[in-house]
Amino acid sequence: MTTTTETASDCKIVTFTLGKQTFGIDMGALIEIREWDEPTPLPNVPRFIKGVSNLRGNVIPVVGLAERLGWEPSAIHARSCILVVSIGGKQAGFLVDEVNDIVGITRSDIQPAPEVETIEASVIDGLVRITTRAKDGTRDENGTMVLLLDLEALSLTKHLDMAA
Amino acid sequence: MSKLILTVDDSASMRMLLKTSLTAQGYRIESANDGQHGLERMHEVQPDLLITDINMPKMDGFELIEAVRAEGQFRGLPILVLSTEFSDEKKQRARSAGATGWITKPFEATKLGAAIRRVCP
Amino acid sequence: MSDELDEIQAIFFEECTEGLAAAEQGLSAMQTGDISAETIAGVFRAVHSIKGGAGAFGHADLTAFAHRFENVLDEVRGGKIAPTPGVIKVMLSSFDVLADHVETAKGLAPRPNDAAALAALEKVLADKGVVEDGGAPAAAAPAAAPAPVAAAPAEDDFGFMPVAFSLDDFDAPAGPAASVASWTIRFKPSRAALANASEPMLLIRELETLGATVESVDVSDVPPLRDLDPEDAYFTWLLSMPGDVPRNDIDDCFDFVAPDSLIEITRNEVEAPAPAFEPIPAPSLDLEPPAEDLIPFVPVTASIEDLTAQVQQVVADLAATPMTPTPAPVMPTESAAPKQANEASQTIRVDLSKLDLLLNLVGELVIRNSILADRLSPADRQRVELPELARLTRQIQDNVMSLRAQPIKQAFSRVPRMLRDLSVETGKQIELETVGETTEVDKGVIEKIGDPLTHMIRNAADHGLESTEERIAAGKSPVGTIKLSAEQKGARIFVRVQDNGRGINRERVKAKAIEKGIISADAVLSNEEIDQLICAPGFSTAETISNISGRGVGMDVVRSNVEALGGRVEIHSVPGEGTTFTMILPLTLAILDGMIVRLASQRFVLPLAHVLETVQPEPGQVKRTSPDTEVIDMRGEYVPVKRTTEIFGLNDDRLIEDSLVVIVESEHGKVGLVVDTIDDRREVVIKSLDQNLHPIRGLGGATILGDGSIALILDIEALVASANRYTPKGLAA
Repeated sequence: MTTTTETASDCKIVTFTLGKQTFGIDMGALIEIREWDEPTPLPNVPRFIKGVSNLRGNVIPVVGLAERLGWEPSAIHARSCILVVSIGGKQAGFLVDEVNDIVGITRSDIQPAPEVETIEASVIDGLVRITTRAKDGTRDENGTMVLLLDLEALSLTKHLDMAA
Repeated sequence: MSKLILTVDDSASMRMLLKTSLTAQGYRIESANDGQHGLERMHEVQPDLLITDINMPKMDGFELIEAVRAEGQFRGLPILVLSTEFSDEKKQRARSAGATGWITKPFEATKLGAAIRRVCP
Repeated sequence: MSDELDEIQAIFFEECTEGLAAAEQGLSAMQTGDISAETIAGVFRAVHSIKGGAGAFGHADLTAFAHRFENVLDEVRGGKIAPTPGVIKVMLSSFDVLADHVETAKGLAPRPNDAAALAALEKVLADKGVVEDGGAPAAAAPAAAPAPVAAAPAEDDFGFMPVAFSLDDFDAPAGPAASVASWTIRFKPSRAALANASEPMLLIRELETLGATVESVDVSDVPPLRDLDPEDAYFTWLLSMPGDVPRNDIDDCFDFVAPDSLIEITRNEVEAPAPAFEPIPAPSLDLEPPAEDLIPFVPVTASIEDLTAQVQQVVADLAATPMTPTPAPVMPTESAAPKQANEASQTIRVDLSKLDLLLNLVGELVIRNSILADRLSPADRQRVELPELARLTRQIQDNVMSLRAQPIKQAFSRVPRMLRDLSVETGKQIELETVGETTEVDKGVIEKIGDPLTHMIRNAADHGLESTEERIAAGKSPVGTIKLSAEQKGARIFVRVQDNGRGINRERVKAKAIEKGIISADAVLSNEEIDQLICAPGFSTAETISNISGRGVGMDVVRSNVEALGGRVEIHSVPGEGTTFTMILPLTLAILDGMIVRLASQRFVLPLAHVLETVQPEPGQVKRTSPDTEVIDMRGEYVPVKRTTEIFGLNDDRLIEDSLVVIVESEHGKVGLVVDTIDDRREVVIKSLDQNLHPIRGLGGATILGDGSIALILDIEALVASANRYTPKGLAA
């Protein structure tokens, strides 16, 4: 884990990695972070829906976020996590490679989404640079570019409606 | 200990409005959902003030006040009635039932508070 | 705070729904001749409550309309207006407008045009004035002042004008009162006011906050102790108040204790500017007898708190006096009410999610119970505690289920209004008959049958019933009847919509189905099969697309909605006599009697209601009829076999002889499902997949098993339908 030096932030995001890319989602949407646990597979659903899991008595879909974004499926390893989020009142779990940090950002620092290769632009809300301190304490001067995901655009029901 | 008020109204939203408004003003609130229930709750709760609606099923507000006043232990209890209008006739009816005063619905928090302070120290 | 208010407002809207239902029920009862005081009072109360809440949440239009409606109801309640059929009709249409206003307040609809309804209400009020012996009070015609803003703030017009107090005026600018004047106030509370628990000291304190000063307290009326009645009032206060305090504010303070208390307020105009607080000489009151004859005024120097304490002390002492001569009129303290109160059923409002959680937990308990039973040795299983535990668990489960059960009346409540509208739209005379509306159904079912029911009713009114002329020509009563009924049979609920109209024109339905390509031109169909075509996707028989039911969605939507609930639709029609649509629904959407089966190490639930039998196939009993299809020979009947593993893309390399075949049946016929093993038979708690995802074809939901893992519930209807898709018997070619 890394810690962040914060300056007057007005919004918190959770950052995580998929492959080499760092992503962020609005902290407000996060319900919890769970360890990977094989979900129960479902028939007749798009491939990126890995199945359903039991979250304290709730049946929630688990989504392979990498596949959802059109990438190679994430390999499951010790640090694989499920980010449980709430999108428009519905809950879903996103499989990610590693959860990094909770970072405060300033909304005005968010830049418009660039054309990112292999990702539908519509699921990217914007781009923000965060300053991180590496484990050895040295300051990473360049910072890290974080792609902010638009959770609404990732809504499962929306996607299924289109697929149907 | 802050004052304890029993509110009697058959409308849950009105009960909650009263509760929200009065809790914010430092009162403790208990409630009942009709006249009969209110009369039962009176003994249980022993409030410092009773606020009751008039139009309620089973036992209306006037009947409740009469029943409450009929019991010696509640003779000195301040009672406010709550209604959407108070004509002189209705005020007289409230007085003869034994009401101490009245509050017109809809109420503003400040007016509600003022009415309560007028009857309940 | 605003979230809190939103929440309360949501409750208010819920109450509106309940109130509207109650009002409508009452009005309908009145329409059929029940004009008992209780019924009328019920309608009045419902409308009155809506008005009160609407005022509190600032819905002015709703408040205003409800107020006008309430005026008429009040007169009816008071016997001043007779509830004639004409009056009831006005009230029913006013009710509809009121319901529309509620929708507007919810933000779901534009503001309704209520002019006609208001006019009708005013006419009812006005006519009463004529009918009566001339003594109609002026207040009975509020129509005269339709603009509340312009109207004088009199409380008889819009009764919700806050007239009781205007304390917040007191820091308003005092006005250009250049002349320095003052008020002198003399106040002696009445005995009655004290009996009603009025506290004079509080009133004095309130006057003080307005700027009053207590000049003196006249205790001259206090009698000798032995004659003293502790319940009576003897003190007279004399106060002065700055002249810039509006008279109304002062009057307001006395609102609760007027009119029988002694209250004298006199204004003293002072010529020369003088300090507002200068004490005003008392003698301006010539009512006062010469002071010397009596106990002199006690000059007040103490603070009001001290005074309060003193007065209280005096009162307490008096009350404690043993020779209290006149005990207050003792009224019978044995009230009959408390006894009755115990019989009254009381309700609390519970968040549905809490009930669902409880239901889940009970479901878990049931599961644990059966797991425990499995683990015990047969000897232990016989011990009395276990069956007892199972019985109790079962009872808890039933009770929790009953908490979710609601009378189906809620779903039916929209229908009368709908039919009134439909009657206007179609020009048909329609009579509604309702049976079994107290039948209790799970809340989830009630919520979901609203739309299908609406559609069935529209269909019946639009297509089922003939026009008045047509009916007369056919020798029928000009008034068509739609009968709406509900009954419970076992674990199913039957909801019927029955019309006495023309019945299904099978020739036309068939022609249309051929035209739309739903069936082939040479298809040979039974009457029942033709009737079922009405529910086929894309079918609509109306020759002109009517405004009512021909909106592109038809009975096929009804069928798929009902099937999604685990139910089915049956159609029965007799030409010339009418058509009956029956929705057969599960009693609950929450619990299912299921068979837990295992397929390639994954567990699934088969709804037991569909399971006919289980067989271990003999060699040769399963035959391949084409590369894709297999059938099992069940005592001479060939049933298609479905390898469920195929549907789910699970690996299945077992021989069919090593598996089990569960024969299931649905609407669409029988199918054999191949499974590895059968684990258990138990009740499961259904978790809908669309809560967080989307309904998935082939699945009726999911459940959570005792170990926390998820088992999917198979949707037998869908599986069988897809298995039989290519068989010649199917309708959909």
